[in-house]
Amino acid sequence: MAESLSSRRSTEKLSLGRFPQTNNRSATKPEVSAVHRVGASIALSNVVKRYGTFTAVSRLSLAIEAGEFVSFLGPSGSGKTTSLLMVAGFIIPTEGAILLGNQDITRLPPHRRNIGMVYQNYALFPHMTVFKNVAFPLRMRRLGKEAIRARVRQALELVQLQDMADRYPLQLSGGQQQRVALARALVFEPPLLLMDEPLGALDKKLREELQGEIKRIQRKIRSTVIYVTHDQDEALSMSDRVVVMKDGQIEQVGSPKELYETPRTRFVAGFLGSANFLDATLVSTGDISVARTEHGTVVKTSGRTQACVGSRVTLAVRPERVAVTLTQVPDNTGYQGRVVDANYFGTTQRYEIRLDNGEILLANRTNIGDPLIEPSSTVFASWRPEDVWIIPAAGNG
Amino acid sequence: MKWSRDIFTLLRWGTWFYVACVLLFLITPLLVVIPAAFSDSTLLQFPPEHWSTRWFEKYLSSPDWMVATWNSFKVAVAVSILATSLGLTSAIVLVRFRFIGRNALRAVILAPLIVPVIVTAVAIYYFILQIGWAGNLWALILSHTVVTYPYATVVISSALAEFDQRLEDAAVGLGASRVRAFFEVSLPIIRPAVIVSFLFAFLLSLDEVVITIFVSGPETMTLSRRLWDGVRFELEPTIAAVSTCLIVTSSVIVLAAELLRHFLMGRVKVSARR
Amino acid sequence: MHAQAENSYSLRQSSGLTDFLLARLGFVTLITPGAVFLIICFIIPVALLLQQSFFDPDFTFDFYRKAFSSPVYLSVFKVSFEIALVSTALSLLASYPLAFALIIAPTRLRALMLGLILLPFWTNILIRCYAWMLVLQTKGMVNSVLTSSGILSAPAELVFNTTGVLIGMTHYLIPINTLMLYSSMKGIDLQLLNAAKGLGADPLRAFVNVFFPLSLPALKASAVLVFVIALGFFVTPALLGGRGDITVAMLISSYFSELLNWGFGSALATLLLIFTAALLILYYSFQRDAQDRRAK
Repeated sequence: MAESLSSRRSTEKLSLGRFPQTNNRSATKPEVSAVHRVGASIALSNVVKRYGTFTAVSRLSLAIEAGEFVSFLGPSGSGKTTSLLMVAGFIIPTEGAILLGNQDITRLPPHRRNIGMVYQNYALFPHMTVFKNVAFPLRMRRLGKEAIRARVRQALELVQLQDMADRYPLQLSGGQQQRVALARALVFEPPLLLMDEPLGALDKKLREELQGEIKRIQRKIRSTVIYVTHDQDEALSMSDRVVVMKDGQIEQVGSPKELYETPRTRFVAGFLGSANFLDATLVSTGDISVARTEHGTVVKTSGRTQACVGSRVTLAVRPERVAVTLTQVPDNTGYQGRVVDANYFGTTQRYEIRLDNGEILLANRTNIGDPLIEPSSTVFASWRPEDVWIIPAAGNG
Repeated sequence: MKWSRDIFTLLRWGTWFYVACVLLFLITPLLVVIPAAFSDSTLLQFPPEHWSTRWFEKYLSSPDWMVATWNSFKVAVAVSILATSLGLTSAIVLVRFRFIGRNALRAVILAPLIVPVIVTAVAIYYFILQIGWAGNLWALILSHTVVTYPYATVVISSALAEFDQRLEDAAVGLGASRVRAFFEVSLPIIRPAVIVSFLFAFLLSLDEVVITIFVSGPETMTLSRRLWDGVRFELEPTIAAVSTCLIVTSSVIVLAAELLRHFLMGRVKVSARR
Repeated sequence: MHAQAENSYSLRQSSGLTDFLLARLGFVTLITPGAVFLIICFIIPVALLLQQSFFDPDFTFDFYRKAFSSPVYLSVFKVSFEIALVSTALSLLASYPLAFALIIAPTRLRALMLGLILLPFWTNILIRCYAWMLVLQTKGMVNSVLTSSGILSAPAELVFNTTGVLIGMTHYLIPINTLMLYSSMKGIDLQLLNAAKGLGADPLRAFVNVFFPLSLPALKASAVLVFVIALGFFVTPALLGGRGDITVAMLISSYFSELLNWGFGSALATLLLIFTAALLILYYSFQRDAQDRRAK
């Protein structure tokens, strides 16, 4: 906490100056570089947005460090875009406050916020060339002609579109349009960059390529980024932290690893990848807890829990952590069952297994050349205690 | 089977023939007026025996036709400017703001399209006599604006409604004020609609007859007014020459407006869909 | 130096109050010109007209009583309705097939056809009436063809009577009617026709059982609107009609410009306005039908 406070304070100075000190030697010809900059911290405290009786966002509190890449992840209607638009200023919160650096921007109109934003549909101005699109925010800030030209060139170099300056948006491919939108959002060096499903309209291959590019640029300019997406892979691969939202509330905040490996709720576990959920009763607790499922499978887990012996819990184990073997594993901890369904997915083989006691399990096996196990074969499913975690009853919602 | 196929072929060709007849009926007036204008004779013969341009010469050398033409032009330009500006402001109000009485406002703006023109004409005529504006060119301009303003509003609102509001939001997010964003982004994109509305208002004013014959006086003679008198009392081929000039003017303007609508608005629509 | 650079780059700061006022003032600024214009140039004149019809100089219903008691005026209303009804029917007969042809025509042909429809649409009504006089008069084109070919022994009276009015009116209404029908027919999925044919319907049945019912609401709506336009029509009957073809609009006009009995003229105008309003209510109910059907 102390650390986060101090780092926030240090960015305040920068964000107030908006021009890094090194670049302010000359007022007439600012040698602005897109490299040495740091974003601003942003804090939402108890932000609420209601529309009549409908609550789109309820009591959202979140502190984002300067330079952090944070994703808002959730299904549609979870309030992630509403939250983003409140940060951008297009929606005024019903309650609560939003702070950018140390400035309260809750009621500041969007054009005075100095926040960069990239939209899902790019929102490029069709009647302006790429150059004019990127120059637009600089013109609004009354920069000189020369300065604008220099900065636009720099921004276009950053997104590798320096040769496209005279084209119109409609003459560009989707991916190129997205890069222009990015350049336009970055060219005025905003302390905060908002991205609303920026890659949603692109095909998978291009999306992955641009994900890498966005990360590269973000690392270079060290701007704070809030990235809204409903694509879990995107959120996991790009973010420093992910905010999982559901029904206008934060479900869980954490690093991608935390969220994936120790989701606190069934929703988070299910939304980020898939999982086998086993309803069980705790038999004993300790470093290794033991639980018994409704079907009678006895499961060992190293997952932590505050629940006492005898209470009902949900155990979760990722399908890729379930090993499927044709013979019993050496320490005899494999559960015997039959393959109900086997599917080939290229990089993985997916199995649905029915244990002899009736328990149904999903298992993924990396395709390293082993032949697909035919349905109705007898197999053994096994996992390590550390692969199983416990979701408390409250997290089952 | 063979028989029934023949019947349907016959039916299809019959329909197309009928449609062709209707189209012929529609352009008959134009097919008659234009040759009549080039006739050498004072009598209205069709087809003319000898060709000449004497009626055009007569039109162009007649001071009262020229005054009428000049007045019509002045009125039409003023009406286009006025109707388009009012249409633009009203379209923004109707499309962008949600307020009590919005539907009522829309109904009132569109009312002159629906109220019989004769009613509007006598109402304005009576009002003008009351305030002593008879024979004033401004009376003609304002009364023409009453019936063109709804068209302008419709044309511009539909463009504004189709315009992707997120583009303007994006401009605001990039640091432009609402007003600036409108002028920098929204207005340039809907510009074709504004031009189309301007052209249509010009044509509507040029072709307006009913209000014109009530509001215009001898001092404010316009083409429509002069034609009205001419058609009723003279029937000489000068009228055909004037008509031909008017038809050519309308055709050029309509063609320009259609091309604008087709190409420029199409471009913006594509971008809005993305 | 430093501050200057900062100003050139950061956004101008001002309070939220300015923005708030700007938004409010923006609304007022935008709504005022149109509202003021409409009130002065349209609402006040029409209101004065209505008022005029009830005062002579004291409050009275005399004008209305006169309009309804005299058979002369009743026959004018009757003539107006008849002319409007027949010309609406004729224009529908021409417009419906034309609109359908527009829908199924290939792009280039459609553009040509639309051009041929728009050309008369944008031609001054006086020019059109003038042209019809040339075509239809005793020594006109039609009569000279008919007499010289021996179909008629003497030229037929085609203009300055009801026939002339109907031809002129129908010609005026067809483009309007066609464009309205065309714009709503565009919403009908032509695949349905093919689907019906695929299910065994012959082309005629497919049209009658599938397309026609779908286009019926649009047909009704445009019929009412065209009737409204025809009812208030003035120029064509005045120029192409004979002595018997006096319409309400012409009567109103003569009371204002010739007889200068403004009170009675206003009463007639008000009656025309009421008829129009009643028909428009009908139109909107048809429109709602059409929308409901589309929603389903």
